[in-house]
Amino acid sequence: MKRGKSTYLYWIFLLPSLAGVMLFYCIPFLYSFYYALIDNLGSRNFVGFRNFEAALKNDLFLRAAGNTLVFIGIAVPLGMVIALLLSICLQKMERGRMAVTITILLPLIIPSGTIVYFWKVLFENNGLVNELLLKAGVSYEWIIGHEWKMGILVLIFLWKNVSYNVVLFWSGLNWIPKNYYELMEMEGGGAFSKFFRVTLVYLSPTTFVVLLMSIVNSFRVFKEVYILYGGYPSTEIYMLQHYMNNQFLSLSMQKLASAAYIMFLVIGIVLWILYRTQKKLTDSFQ
Amino acid sequence: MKRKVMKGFIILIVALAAFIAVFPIFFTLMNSFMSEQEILDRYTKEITESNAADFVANGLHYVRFGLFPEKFTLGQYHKLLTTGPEYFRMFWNSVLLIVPILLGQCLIAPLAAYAFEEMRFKGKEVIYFTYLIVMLMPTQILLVPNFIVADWLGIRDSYLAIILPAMFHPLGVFLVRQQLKAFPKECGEAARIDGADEWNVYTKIVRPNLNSVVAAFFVLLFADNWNIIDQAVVFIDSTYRMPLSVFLGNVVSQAPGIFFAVSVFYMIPALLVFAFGQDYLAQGIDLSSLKY
Repeated sequence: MKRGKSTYLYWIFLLPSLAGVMLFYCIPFLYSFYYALIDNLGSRNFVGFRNFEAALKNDLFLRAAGNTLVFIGIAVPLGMVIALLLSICLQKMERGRMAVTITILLPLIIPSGTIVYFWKVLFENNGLVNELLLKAGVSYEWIIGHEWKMGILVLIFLWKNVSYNVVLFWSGLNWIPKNYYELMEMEGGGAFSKFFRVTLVYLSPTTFVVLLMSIVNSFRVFKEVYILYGGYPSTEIYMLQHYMNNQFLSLSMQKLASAAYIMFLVIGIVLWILYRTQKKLTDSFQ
Repeated sequence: MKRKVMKGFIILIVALAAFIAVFPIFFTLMNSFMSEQEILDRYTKEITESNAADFVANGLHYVRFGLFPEKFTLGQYHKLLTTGPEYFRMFWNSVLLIVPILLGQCLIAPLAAYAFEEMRFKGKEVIYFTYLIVMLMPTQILLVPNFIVADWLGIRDSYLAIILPAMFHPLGVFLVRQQLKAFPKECGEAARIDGADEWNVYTKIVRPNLNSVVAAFFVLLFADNWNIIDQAVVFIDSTYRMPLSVFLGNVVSQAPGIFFAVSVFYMIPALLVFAFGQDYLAQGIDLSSLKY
């Protein structure tokens, strides 16, 4: 066959990308394991896993990891539920769907920094939200005592990123054949069973990808935190991204590399568990 | 009856979502037509000589939230044009960063995705799996290898340190390959039987069918890199070489009076790209051929 000859061309197609991914991501990441095992860039003595131990005992690192987990735990499920609800509503719309979809997608493209003054006006100590709370009869002491910075971050994050999930859910929903719903209707199923026994089941591969992307994307909240609070925010919203950034600035490669490997491992395990669960779920329905 | 309630409910949710999505943007736009003085009066909490009168007059403690300027003026834009070369410089920095990334990705990703879909060799899926892993890692982890390479190549504190890795980030390959899986292989086969060589099959048959996914991806990529912050903070040392996306955080505190005009100025390219690519993005990105 002619195909044999043409594989050369495919290799040429693949090569730029493959070389780039290897050179800029894979190889240096593997190499960075060496940094994780030495004491510092000067003397370069091997210290085994002491850097990992130190990271896991470091209050700042643990604090950052804890905050990141809390943030992901709140923002990812919320973002997915809202996006799914929105996508379904959009799908059920008969008129004006396109216009609304486009409007909802707008925050995705607006740079975080351009909206920062709005968030400040809303959420700062002398901002609109606090004023409204005060007018609603909440005591001044209570308002001063509760800052809700994490909650504010979740709100801002959702505003910006929910539409990313809508984009991903959208085609998954359209792909579910309409006659599945008709079948369900003939069997006497209501809206409830249509949603749980058709939509959710057949959407599960898409949902899985959205979940994975949501976890990755949740780290983007750094942009918002950085713009609002700078590189050194208060401890309640100090996240792994800040920990990493500050190690970059102080050039402590051993701390950076060990922290990166810990994060890599944790994320890897989480993804693997999710993958297995998803597979089991899909298999049980087929 | 039930139908009508349902319909009303849907319209309510969708309208609310659309309102929430647009409101902060609208706020920023409208506030860019306020005078500097009005901005200071309304939103700054520090009492300075210039806004002391307003504090006395309005008994201000909380911000005076406002959508519509007391007096419509282009003063902020005028000041931006006359006294703001630093903002233009940083805007230009953003352009210098994003153009090579967009060009590189749009050239490299579809080719690689096509190769992944067509090639048959052992280990192909292993390589692809590596791509997926890289794609699923957050920026802060990826910055470590990026940082090391930048050191090897001696390009730290240069835009190349950001541009080169970003050109090869695997998200584009993933999205395009998803689309390719839905593309009927028979089209290519038919062309081959008619004597088309592989290059022609790609450029004449496959690539034109990828336009919509590439456009959608282009918009996402633009959104991401026009809003670049993490990488710039790590790699770029001097303030004047920062992209405007990072510096906007400083503008709020240093020059609040013209912040809104600077913001609108920075939004415009994003809005233009969105206007061009909105249809593709709104059609969604095809994940339907996912197989596990």
